[in-house]
Amino acid sequence: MSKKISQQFLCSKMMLPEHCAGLKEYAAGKQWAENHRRPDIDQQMHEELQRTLEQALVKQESLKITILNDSGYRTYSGIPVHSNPASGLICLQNGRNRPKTVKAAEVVRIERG
Amino acid sequence: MSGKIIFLADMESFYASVETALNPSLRGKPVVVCGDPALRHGIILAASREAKAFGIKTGQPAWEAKRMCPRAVFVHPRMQSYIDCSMRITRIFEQFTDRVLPYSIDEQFLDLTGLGKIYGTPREAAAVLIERVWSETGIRCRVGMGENLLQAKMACDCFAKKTRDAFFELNSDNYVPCTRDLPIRSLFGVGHRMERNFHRIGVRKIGHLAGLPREMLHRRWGINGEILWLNAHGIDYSTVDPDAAREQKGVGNMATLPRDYRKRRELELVLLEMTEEVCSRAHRQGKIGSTIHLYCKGADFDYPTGFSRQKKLPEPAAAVPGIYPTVLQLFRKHWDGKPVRAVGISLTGLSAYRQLQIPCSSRYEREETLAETIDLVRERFGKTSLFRAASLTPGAQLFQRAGKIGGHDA
Repeated sequence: MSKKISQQFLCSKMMLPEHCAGLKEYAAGKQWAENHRRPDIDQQMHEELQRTLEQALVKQESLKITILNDSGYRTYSGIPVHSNPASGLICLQNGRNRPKTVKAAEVVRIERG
Repeated sequence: MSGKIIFLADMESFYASVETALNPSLRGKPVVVCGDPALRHGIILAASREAKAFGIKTGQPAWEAKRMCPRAVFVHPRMQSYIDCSMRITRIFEQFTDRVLPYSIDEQFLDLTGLGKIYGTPREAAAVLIERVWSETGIRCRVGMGENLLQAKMACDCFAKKTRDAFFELNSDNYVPCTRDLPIRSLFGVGHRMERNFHRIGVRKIGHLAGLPREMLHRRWGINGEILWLNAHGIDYSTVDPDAAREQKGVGNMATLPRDYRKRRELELVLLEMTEEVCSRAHRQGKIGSTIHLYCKGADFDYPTGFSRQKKLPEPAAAVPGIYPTVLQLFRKHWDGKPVRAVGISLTGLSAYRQLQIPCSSRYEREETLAETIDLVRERFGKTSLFRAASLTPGAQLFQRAGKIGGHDA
């Protein structure tokens, strides 16, 4: 079907370029906020994350830790070698580079594997 | 019944309503928004309900409105304020549904399908929506409802504006009976020219058009004829897709000139300035276009003259040297020498500059660098900080249009 038939209103839209630009910027802002929206982590979930981390520390198991900060979501893999409640930092050793340090406050997900 | 619930919310006398909302001392007074009467823009862009009571209409010359209502308050348009208000209304609508499609500065489609349990009947939902817009912005709006966008638009334009509760519903059952006796010009998509074409074949009402065979309309007017036949039957396949709406198909620039332009040199100069503007916009978005569209219109809108033509560029471009020769070709081929009052240029077939494998000659690269540099200077120091000497000659429009939105004060 021709686009003119399937979307006649998109084809006849009367928008000022400045209005379109404003809407685009607004949509991009919403998208950014959505990408940076922190999931609700309740008490139970928090305890679950804590337990998974402690077990991995003891058994030297590999973890996938997802964090959220201003750059968005990032996932790091490795074996936790150190977790310091005082500094709030977790060190991950992935065998290749220097240990990766992540802030515990930015952690939103911890998975085994 | 498709079960879809599509609303078209239309803001009443939008520009005048925004002015009244921004300046409450205007409330209850006949407010008229119009451009500078000294220029061609001295036409009414919007009139408040109170001004309309004196017979003042959009599109009328300002002097005529002044004669009809000497105590009317005339205000200059402030386009950025109107855009800001329109976006505020979009945000209000997004609290009802995430499927909102702004159609123009004062009209927005909403898809409320499946939200009946939250908002009640469509009439109840419309009442809440109208109240929210009024209480948060001071703008009155009317709502047309349909099972598709066309029905919603027709319900709003032809009926909701006249009802007490500013709401009207069309659906597949009542569309044809409700619209068949309306004049053909009321049908969405029928403009001045098409109305004349239909009158010539005896089609004066929407019902007459609905009674014609679809094939006949297709043979005569191609896809446009077919769409009008579908519109006459209330059939529309459009969807409220905000993502699709944000995809830009083209970059354009149009202008109503301050007087009739008769000299080729002056018109070609305006076309050059407009080509620069279009190129600059495309450039800022990192886009390059493959087709150029040019239109020129005469002064008398009742007896339209002029042309509207498009041509594929020899190679995709977003710089003046790659586009202007084609604009000139189109203009010189189709302009019949009659006075011109409005011109428009648009670049379509856009693609991301970096996606294309363009054989980059050193000349092309130089032109690109120059265009980029000019854009940077203008972005930082204003549109008139760097310009062609020709823009100082009679007929040039650069200085008149700089800093304006849609040809009006920002």
